[in-house]
Order: sequence, then structure tokens, then C-alpha cells
Amino acid sequence: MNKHKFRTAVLLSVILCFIIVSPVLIQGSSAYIFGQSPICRGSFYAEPGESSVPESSVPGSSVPESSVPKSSIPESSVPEKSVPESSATTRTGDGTNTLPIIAMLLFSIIAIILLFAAIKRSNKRRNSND
Amino acid sequence: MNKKAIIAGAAAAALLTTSLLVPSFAFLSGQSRKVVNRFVSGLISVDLKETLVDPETGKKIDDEPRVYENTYLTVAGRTVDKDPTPIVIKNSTSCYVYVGVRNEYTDLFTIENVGADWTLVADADHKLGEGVTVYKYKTVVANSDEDQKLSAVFEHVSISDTFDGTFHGESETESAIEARAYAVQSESTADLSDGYALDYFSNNDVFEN
Repeated sequence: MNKHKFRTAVLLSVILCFIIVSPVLIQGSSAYIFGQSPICRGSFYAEPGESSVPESSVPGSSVPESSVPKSSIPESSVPEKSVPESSATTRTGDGTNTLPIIAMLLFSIIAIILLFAAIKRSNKRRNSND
Repeated sequence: MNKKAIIAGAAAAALLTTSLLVPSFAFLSGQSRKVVNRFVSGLISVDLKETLVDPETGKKIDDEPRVYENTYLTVAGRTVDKDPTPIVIKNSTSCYVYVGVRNEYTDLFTIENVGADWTLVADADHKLGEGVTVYKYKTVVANSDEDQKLSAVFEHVSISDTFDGTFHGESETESAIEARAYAVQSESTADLSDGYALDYFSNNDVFEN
């Protein structure tokens, strides 16, 4: 009876410990420094009725000069100036602050110790009562 | 009774500690100047640009300027220039560099001439989004006080000769191929970096903003 309760308590404490520690582990795993660039995009647009002709079937360019009015080309085709300066700078991942991790670990260790102490104490009491 | 004994013991211990510690401050003392070790967090900055192309012909205009976006008229059977090239910004921590590419219509657009310095990365544990491929640069890009331009991930995109003027539907007349670079510190991540990169590119939002 006592043994069974003890096992349950241990199991519960392990689960509790896992719940406490897992965010720390997750946070810890992404602590490496990383960087990412802005998106580099190639936009493909179709001019209905014109682009269905295979390139190879027409000598030279299959698109007549007049079929692609200048105004139909989006502004973004020359984006060097239009891209805001801020987007050119890359976002950088920082190393995670270790202090909260240590605090969380300490907290979880203390919680486990307290839990085990409580279990042991209650078992002792029961034994002495028996 | 027991409780009283514990409280009395604790109080005695506290008193004893105080009585031992407090007088020690009365002795003559000296101290050295403090030694300060400053730990500065590392940085990785990476950029990704490509050569500006003529939207009508899909051919590059010149090596410079390099841009974040090009527009292409889609013509069946045509091969256009597209050369996303990462630049690791100066003073970045040594890193592995990856480039993820999302090609919405793999049956219409084919990425051609993948650079010899780049290898495809994939594993069974990571499910990448539709049309997403991830390439890894061959070596660690070491820390440098100058920007380091790597080789282009690929050079061209070919358009299928079955292209009928629409992208899988009458209403859609635009499509895009997006690329993004990701770099992760090389120290302590030799066996993990591929997983980190695949984790990163598994998130579809990566190509949205």
C-alpha cells in the first residue's frame, strides 16, 4: 500500500520535474547564435495570351517589345533603392541569458528535493503509526 | 516540544554565525583591484541578394547592383538568370550557412545549375513545406573583418514549355521563388547545425516576411 503510494508520488514528482525543466531545455537548445537574411524574391508574372508560346518556337525573343508595356512592370523590379535600409540589416539571434536557466534549474532541483523529503516524511509517519 | 527545540537550535546557530562573522570585519583588511572579464555576445549577420535582371528578357543587366527582388515575365521554355548569393557580414561569428528556397510550382519552374559549393540537406525527421529545399555551404565561414560573399546557390531557373499563361488557374497570374539565408554558429554545432537549419526552414512563415 505504502509502496504503491510512494511509486505514484515518485512518478508525479518526475512529471512535475519534467514540466519545470522542459522549458529550460527547450530554451537552452535554441541558445546558439544564428542570423537570418531578408527574403530574396523572384516574382514571375504572366501576360495572358503571350507567354504560352514556347521560347524555342520563335526566333529571338518571343515577346514583342510592345507586348510588355513599361507600366506593367512592377516598381519592385528595381528594388535596390526601394528596400528600406532597416530590412537590409539582418536580424540576429542572441545567446540566451543563462541566469533564468540556472534559476529554473535550481528551482526544479529544490522542488524535487522538497518533494522527496515530504514523501519520505509521510512514509515515516505512516510506518510509525502502523 | 520538538518544534521549540528546532527554533531554539536555529536561533542559536544564527547567533553563533553572527557573532563569528561580525567581529571579523573589524580586522584590518585590504583588497586588490577587481579583475573584470567581459563576455560579449557573438553576432551573426547574413545577407542574401541577387543580380538585377531585365524583367522582359530575364537576363542579368550587370553584376551590380544586387537586389532583394527581381521580376520576370514568364515565357514558356525560357531560362532566366537568378543567382541568390549569401554575404556573411564582417565580424560575424564563424558559422555554417544554409539557404532555403521555396518554389511554389516545381512543375513549372526548375532550379538549374546548383553551385558546386552547395549541397542539398534533408532528413526524414523534418518535413519541409511544399516546394522547399535547403542547401548548405560546403565549409564553415570563418570570422573575418570583411564581408564575405559566398558563391551563388544556383544560377538559373527554367520555365516549363508547358506553361499556358496561368499558374494553375485563371485567377493566378503571379508566382514567386523565394530564398532566405540562415547561418548558425559553427562552434559546438557540427552535428546539430543541419537539424537547426531544417527546423528553421520547416516553419512556413520563414518565407512570408
